[in-house]
Amino acid sequence: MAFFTRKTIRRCVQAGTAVAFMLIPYLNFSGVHFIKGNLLSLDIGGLVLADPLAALQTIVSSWEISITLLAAAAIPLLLAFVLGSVFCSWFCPYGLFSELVHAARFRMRPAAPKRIFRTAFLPRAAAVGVLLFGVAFFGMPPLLNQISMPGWYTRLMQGVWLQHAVPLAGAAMFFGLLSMELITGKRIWCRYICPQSVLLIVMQRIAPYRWRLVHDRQCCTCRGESPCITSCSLGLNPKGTPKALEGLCNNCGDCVAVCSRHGGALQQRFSGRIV
Amino acid sequence: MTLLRPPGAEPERLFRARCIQCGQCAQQCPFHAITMDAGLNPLTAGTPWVDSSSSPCFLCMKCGNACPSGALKPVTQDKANMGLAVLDRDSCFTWGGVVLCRTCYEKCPLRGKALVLQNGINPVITESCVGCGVCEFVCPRKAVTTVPERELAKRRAKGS
Repeated sequence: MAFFTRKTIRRCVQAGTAVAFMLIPYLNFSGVHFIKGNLLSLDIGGLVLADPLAALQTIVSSWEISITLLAAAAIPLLLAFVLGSVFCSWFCPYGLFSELVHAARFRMRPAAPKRIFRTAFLPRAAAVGVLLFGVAFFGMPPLLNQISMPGWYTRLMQGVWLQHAVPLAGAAMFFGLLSMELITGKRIWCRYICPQSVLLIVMQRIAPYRWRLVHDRQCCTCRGESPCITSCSLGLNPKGTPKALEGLCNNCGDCVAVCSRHGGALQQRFSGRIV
Repeated sequence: MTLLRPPGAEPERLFRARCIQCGQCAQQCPFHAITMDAGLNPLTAGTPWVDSSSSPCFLCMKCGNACPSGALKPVTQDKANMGLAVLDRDSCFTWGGVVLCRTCYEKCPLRGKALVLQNGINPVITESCVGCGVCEFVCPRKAVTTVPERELAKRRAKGS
């Protein structure tokens, strides 16, 4: 079996991101400032990137538009528009830990994932909308940043290297959530709560033509509980209606890898919306 | 607690609204003077402040350029507007006539403007002080306290 399978490459990118954010504050501490910031806003040699939700909160909270921030937020949004929310599956450090916890749990006690809610996107988007409105209306600081898991991972590293102290609130939230996911065996945060992914999902929903999961019924050879369903760490059904997948699948490609050993009915490619 | 913000910070309310909590100012600071608040208050957690007891701000003015969201503005030293240093003359060596100490005067980044020597001897902090906290840090008697800008604004509003 080849080492460079889709999944190992993805794991390497995820781990690379997680390690990079351990190193960045250390480099800054030693006087290298080429790359700085965290996953709320990052500066790579002058190219500024920002978490779209963090940027949006800053914009509605101060009620003024900053061109830098707009441009910084546009890059991740465009990425989601073209490739789907690949940030979640390829870069997010919390996503990596959450997936590893999920895999470990599955190895300990393999059980068919039970899908509680078919979709939980609309309530989540509504909640984020209400909070954004609150931030805008009361001129509050970007409060949703305090529940950003990728934000907290990188802020923890900044705290450790720059101040030799651990921000307790973030550490408690990060590891508390991971242990909850270990106990329940569900990726609660990524699947049902994460506010940061909402804008990315909105982008992937409105994209008419993007990198997406395509299921070819005619090639599908499995019946019933097929391996692709067990492989999805988010507990989605890759063979389900495209409408249900549209808003939640983050294009990790695990189901595609499993399916290639069966009928090869699942594929990822650039495609228009499937009705 | 009122925090001493880095130089070039907007007024507190606008500062909090604009700060995206990325910590780039802290990562840029060559003196490691900027701390990202690790407290539990969600309104201030992750925002930068200068802990002048561990390291004061030496007004190198690099953080203003690092800020991506305009919470900190790139300004010149004299417009840093962090706060104001207050000297307690009763505990000052020189004012007390104990020793001729000029530590604060020697170290002040705005020497001659923010900190002048009255009659060439006694240190006096003027209105030009931007509140960087260097004098507080170096004072052997701990006779100086730096009052953050927000605290000053509150006091001004009260009219005292």
